Amino acid sequence: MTGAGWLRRVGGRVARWTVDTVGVLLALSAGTFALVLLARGDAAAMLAATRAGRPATPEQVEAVRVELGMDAPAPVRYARWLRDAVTGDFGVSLRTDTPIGPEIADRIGVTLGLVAGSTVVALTVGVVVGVAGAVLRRGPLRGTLRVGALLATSVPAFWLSYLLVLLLALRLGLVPTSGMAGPATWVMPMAVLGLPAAGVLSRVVAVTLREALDRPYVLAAQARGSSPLSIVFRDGLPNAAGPILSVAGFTIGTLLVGTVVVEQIFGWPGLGAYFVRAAAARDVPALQASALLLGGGFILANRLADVVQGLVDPRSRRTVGPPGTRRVPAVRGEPT
Amino acid sequence: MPRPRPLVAALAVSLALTSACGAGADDTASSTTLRIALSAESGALDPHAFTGNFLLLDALYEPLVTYGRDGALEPGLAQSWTVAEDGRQVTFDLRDGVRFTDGTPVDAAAVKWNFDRWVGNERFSFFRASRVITTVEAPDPDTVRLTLAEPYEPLLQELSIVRPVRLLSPASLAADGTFGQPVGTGAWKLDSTSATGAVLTRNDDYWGSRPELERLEFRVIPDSQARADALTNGEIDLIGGAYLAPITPIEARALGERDDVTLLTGAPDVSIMLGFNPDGPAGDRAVREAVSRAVDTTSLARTLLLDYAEPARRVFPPDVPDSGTDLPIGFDQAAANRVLDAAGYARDGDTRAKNGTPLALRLLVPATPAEGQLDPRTMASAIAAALTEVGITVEIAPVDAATYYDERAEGRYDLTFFETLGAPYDPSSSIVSLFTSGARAPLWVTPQTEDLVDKALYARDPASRAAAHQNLYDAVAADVGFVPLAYRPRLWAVRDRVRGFAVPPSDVDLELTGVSLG
Repeated sequence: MTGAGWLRRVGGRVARWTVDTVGVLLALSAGTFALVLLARGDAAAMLAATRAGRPATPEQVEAVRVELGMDAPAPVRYARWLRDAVTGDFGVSLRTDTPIGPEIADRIGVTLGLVAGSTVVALTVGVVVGVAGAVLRRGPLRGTLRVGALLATSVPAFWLSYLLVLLLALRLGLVPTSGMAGPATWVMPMAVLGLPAAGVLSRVVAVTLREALDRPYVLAAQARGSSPLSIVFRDGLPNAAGPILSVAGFTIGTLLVGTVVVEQIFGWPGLGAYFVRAAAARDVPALQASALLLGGGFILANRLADVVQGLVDPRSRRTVGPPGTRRVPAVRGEPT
Repeated sequence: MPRPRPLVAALAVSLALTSACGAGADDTASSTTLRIALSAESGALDPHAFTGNFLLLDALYEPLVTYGRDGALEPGLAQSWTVAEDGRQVTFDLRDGVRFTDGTPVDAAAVKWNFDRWVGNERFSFFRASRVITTVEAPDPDTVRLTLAEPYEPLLQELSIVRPVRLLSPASLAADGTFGQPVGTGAWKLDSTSATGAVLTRNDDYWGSRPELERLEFRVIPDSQARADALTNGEIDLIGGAYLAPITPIEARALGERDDVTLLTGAPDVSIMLGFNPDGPAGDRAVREAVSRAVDTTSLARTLLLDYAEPARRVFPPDVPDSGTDLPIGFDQAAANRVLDAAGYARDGDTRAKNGTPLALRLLVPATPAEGQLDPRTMASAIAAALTEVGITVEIAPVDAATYYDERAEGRYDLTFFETLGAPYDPSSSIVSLFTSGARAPLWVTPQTEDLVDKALYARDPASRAAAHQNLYDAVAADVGFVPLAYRPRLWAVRDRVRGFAVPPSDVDLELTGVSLG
């Protein structure tokens, strides 16, 4: 394959990937807009009542509606929003009367930090527990790990939050109950978000790794006298990496959604908390912008996982490569 | 506050996990800084806008007239005022020598400039004073004169509310004429504000009695259980109030049992009521009377509000000015059954029916509790159970908060909850929104109530005003236009190191003048 041909192929793939992603984001924004329209509850009425500190009269509600340009037909309003959003102008929040762009810029770092931290927790705990689950023989420890993983994935986030507050903050006094100041305040939010994801990951790691360890080349490696650990990390994990990565991508996407609960409970000024308040107040512009970012983050996390998976595991590329590039599946993933 | 760098912080967590870092906040607490929880970010602190938190605005800005205990009006930035004989002019004598924290004098010109920002402005049309005042004059630097279109007795009390009547320094505006810096005359000035909280420092040039505290640190904690936890853990000194950091009755009970926290309850200023839609089965007075007789408000207050609330007997709690006398109502299940029997609603199994139509009512409730409130569905279930006992079927319809106000305005209910607005707005603001057709979702409106509301608003002297309000309450009670359920508790809680804190006159005030820290 010539260099130019490779470039063209990669270029084509990137272009298609971009068009694809933009399309999904457009659909997402239109969907959010439609959902807000369908949801009963009138932003103008709520805003008029907020201003008055009391239920407003019908005339006042109408005045607010005109003031906000909400008297235009829905498609026109969506088109206006899209026109401005493309230029990075997300309008003004109905609830706070301040431009949304800066409001979100202030918050997105908080949420990304929370997701990054939780991802580290999820991957570390998930891989360690998963590897243990794959290599341990049946016994009390393996059973405990499985039950732990099941519990972690099935308890509601708010319940786990209160439990941790009770234990770590009120009982043991190790960390503050809430807030975002200094490393100690990061422990609980990351644990609440990271542990359920770690539970899911650990199961995937355990199953795929065990499958990989049953392959003939592992037997060969054992015959060569490799140590069990090096077998797991040199032979087992690279072969199990594909499915693990695709689940990891999805899991990180769901972490974004989890921030909504965790930020509320621990008082973190992130995008999740912003989204909740916008939804409750029918603050359409703020809701649109935050939903687009949360949804976009979810999609990007998944797509990035696909790309990384393609780099790590050539077998998966046939699903994203153009036709005619199918290769005979390799038995072993060679490092790329 | 520097913005935390997420990735660095994430790495730091692993360090934090390995080195057990004590977070006992009390040992680092300063004796001059009061730490206060806030349920939501403070918003833009412009007194002429609608987004700022009431209590922060109250700490920064002052009115001409102050709402004192039991609704008594006291001098604020005006040391006295006189109302003309015909009630159409109010003249304020301003307090001498007061300056905004940027040094601008509080003179008649500055007051006029503030009033001109909202008087006659369409955006403030909800505020009756903005339509009643026709001219604002400053005949000399010490005097401000308001001329009214008609005599309007609630004017002075309305001038004590928070938005938009508090005074902002005219020199604080941004270059383009929009709101710039929050500069007022209050006992506190703004040091910093962010999405996680705000810091206020003492205004050392304050004209009134200076607070002992030097700093107020507000921390945003949206979750009410988390706020109670932060208080018990010594990270926060003060929570409570309807607009600051609300406490639910359940949290209050847990806090009240602790040795290191003091729970304070203030005289209630809001009542919770059950309202009827006259276009439906509840249009029949017999049905309304049966409902009001069937609900045992005493046990409701005891079981659902954990005795932090009293059963209601009036439209407004007794401490609200002109709340009148207790109305002749009360729990009497036998009477409820008698009324329904007499009106021809015959029992057929569990449900009564008249002319083949079963007696079924739709009870509309918000699905999520408001800040600091118990879940309205609990109260709804208790009421439904009480009505079932006298043969009325109840369908509880929970809808989300935004939808709730729409459905209530559209009359998609037979029964639903109403609340009064609370100090310092009452009684005048609530009687307009509850008993006149101009309101978006009134409680009970007849030509008679409309007329009596006007009489109450425009009464010329205290005696006739009290009588006019009582006539209004009596007329609504004669129609059985509503069922008073409970007076909502005002709950506050402080750590024991906080000395001298008392529940403020209204939940929009932050009264910390005599407070110190041990």
